[in-house]
Amino acid sequence: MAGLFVPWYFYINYITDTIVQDQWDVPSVAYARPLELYEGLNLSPEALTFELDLLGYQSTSSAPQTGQYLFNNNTFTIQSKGFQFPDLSTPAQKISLTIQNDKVVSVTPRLARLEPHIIGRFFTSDFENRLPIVLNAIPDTMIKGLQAVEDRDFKNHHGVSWFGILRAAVKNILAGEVVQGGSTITQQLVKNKLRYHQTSFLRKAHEALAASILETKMTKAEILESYFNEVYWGQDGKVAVHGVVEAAQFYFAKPVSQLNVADQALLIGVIKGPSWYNPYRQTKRALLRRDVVLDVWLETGVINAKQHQLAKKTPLGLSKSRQLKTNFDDFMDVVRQQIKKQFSLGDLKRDGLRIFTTMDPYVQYKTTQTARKTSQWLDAEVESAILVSGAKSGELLAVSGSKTAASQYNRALFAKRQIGSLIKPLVYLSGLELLPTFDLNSTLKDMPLTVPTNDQKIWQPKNWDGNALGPISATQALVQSRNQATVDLGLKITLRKFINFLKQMGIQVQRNRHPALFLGAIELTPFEVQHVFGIFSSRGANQFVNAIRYVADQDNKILGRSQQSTSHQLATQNIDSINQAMHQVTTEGTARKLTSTFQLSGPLFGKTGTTNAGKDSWYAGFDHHYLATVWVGRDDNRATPYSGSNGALVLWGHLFKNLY
Amino acid sequence: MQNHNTNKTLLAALMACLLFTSCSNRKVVDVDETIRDPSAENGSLIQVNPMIPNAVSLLLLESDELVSQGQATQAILTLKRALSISPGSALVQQHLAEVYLVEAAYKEAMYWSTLVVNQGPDQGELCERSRRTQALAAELLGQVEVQARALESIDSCTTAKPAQY
Repeated sequence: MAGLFVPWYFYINYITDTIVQDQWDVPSVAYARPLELYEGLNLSPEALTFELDLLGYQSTSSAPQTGQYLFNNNTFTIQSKGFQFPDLSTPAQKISLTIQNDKVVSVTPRLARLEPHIIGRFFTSDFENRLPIVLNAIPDTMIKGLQAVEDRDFKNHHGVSWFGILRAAVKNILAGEVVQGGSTITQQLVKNKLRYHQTSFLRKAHEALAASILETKMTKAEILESYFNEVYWGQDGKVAVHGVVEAAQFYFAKPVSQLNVADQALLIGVIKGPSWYNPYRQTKRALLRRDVVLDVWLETGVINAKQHQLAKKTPLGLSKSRQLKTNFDDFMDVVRQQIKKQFSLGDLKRDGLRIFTTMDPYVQYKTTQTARKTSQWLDAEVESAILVSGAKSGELLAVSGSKTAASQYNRALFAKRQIGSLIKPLVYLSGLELLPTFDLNSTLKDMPLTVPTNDQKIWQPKNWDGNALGPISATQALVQSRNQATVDLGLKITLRKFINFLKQMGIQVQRNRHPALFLGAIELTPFEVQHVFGIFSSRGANQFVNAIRYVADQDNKILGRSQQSTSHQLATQNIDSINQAMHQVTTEGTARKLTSTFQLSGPLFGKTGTTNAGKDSWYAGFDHHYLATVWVGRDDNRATPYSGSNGALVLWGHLFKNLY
Repeated sequence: MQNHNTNKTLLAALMACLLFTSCSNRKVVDVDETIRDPSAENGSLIQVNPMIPNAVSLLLLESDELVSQGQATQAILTLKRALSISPGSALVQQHLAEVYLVEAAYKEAMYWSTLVVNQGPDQGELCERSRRTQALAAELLGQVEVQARALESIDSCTTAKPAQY
């Protein structure tokens, strides 16, 4: 017997060493942009309510407590939760603001910032979500309350409560099976760390010995701290919620310090069976369990009668943010692509970096809504991809890679499609940049032409309507998307110079040396198109669409931030000339439906694009706030009945109608 | 053996030289002395003061305070916050260019000052500030032609009062 006990003891001793030395992998967190509140901000009550609900705020009809808001007579009173930003710690505070005609007309304090919503995490393969906390940052009621419920003798025992085990053993013998654990907090910590999922007498003995040894290696405070950071608190889809910080966020969307007594009691109660007492699915059962915990706390003096009475009257107050249907996965694809240039996936999964992205949750919500209605407005066979960014800032605000939530393929980022006439603004811009005598009043020949190609063939481009308008101005050619006039200009520029120009714009032309390039015979992703049109919407300031503002470590030290750069030297007046023509596209050209049918006020700028037999329908356009690119087409690249004007443009029009 | 030692000495000298060169490229820029004060004397008849929300004014003051405390990184974050409120504000862009100069991020200083030169006001103090910043950034990047152009264009920021008869 002793021969078995010695190696067993050494094995358990080794196990407890690993528990003491164990360091948690902390997944990196990506945040949406924080909502800034200031006088003059365009903001509808609907948008602010959406944002507050997403952040887990609760609507109230009395004076709001932390994490609550009151909306009354155009005025919001918000008791914010506070957040530690890398530039400045924003304290929890009362914010009052009045909105009239979808504009903030007064706000106190003069500049307020809500905490940013978490849009994604970089998990290790076990999908554990955890953010460690030190013991003294946890409310005292919760620390004492845990002991009162789970292990009243915690301060006195040495890892094992023999009385507890005896009591459990009697119950188990009477029941003929294991019905009660009687484990101490230390034993539960061991169980959590070692991932024991079955209860057997051997496992109990294992736990008991490990707990006894652990108590000689850790102080009581260290054990409690480790427990609060380790314990399993529930499941968010495939992600396991571990530790009190994530549990508070998951159930209440609050920092631990702001949990009230009722919240704390629910969390402590849920530990006994996170699935059985799941407050989202088993509300009544969870409420009963919380009240049992509150009774124990009153009985053991953790809380007084007044606190007990108040807490029992408090509703569960769960965060509604989980129930809001928002899809951030497509945006997170872009974040993953951009961040991997700076940080390894290992760092992201382990080091708990804080990634502050540019995503606007409300714009994302509206974009997703628009994409989901693709089949309502267009043929059921077509798919869609939509990107929205700040027109001037170049910051990516929203991405939808599909019309359905079920699709895993992010077309906005990965689908390379021919762009058709979307290339025309670049052809005319290169004309302005490269041909000294050319301007948009110059005359171009919109008539049949024959172009010899490198492969000894003849190419005869045609217009979309089969007609030829003869000599027309360059503006008219661009506004009416005339193919023959555009090729006439392209031949003056030359294909070689145009390809070099595209290279400066960040577009690589690999194999295509065919003059059909002047009409968009080049494959780009919607994301690359967004880059190109960002040059126009920012008047040359931005060439790249960024999804990340900066990255900080857990101590708020900045590790990286987005940097703007351009590889072109375009004349601003040339871009302005093209923008002027693209404005005409929306008033009298191929996108005039935006101002006539959709009655968008603008001023708007943009260009439609269509490829052969409607295989791709595009619209890229902007106003002073937003730039959006929409693609519509079939995944199997078959024909559709859509041109840019009656396909992608329809989604774009609905999107902009809903954004304001 | 001697050859090996000579190589080592040469390598060390090269490293020291590179290090020295790198250090000498990092110049401490006094923005007030070199850019803001001379630009404040701009006596143009036409002064363009871009309108910005009060919130942005607060953040500009805050960033200036942070720079004076030697916290340029924090100042940049504060200015980016201001830019998220007013993305096209030439005044915020100019502040950013100046803070990047202080932080010895000359390419960024060049980017933001060029943006103000191209899209900002072409008269008055801000016009002059952007051109002075561009010139200084260009000098520190060794872009002599850009520097010369920027310095020459400073005069264009001033429209003199017509002579009185």
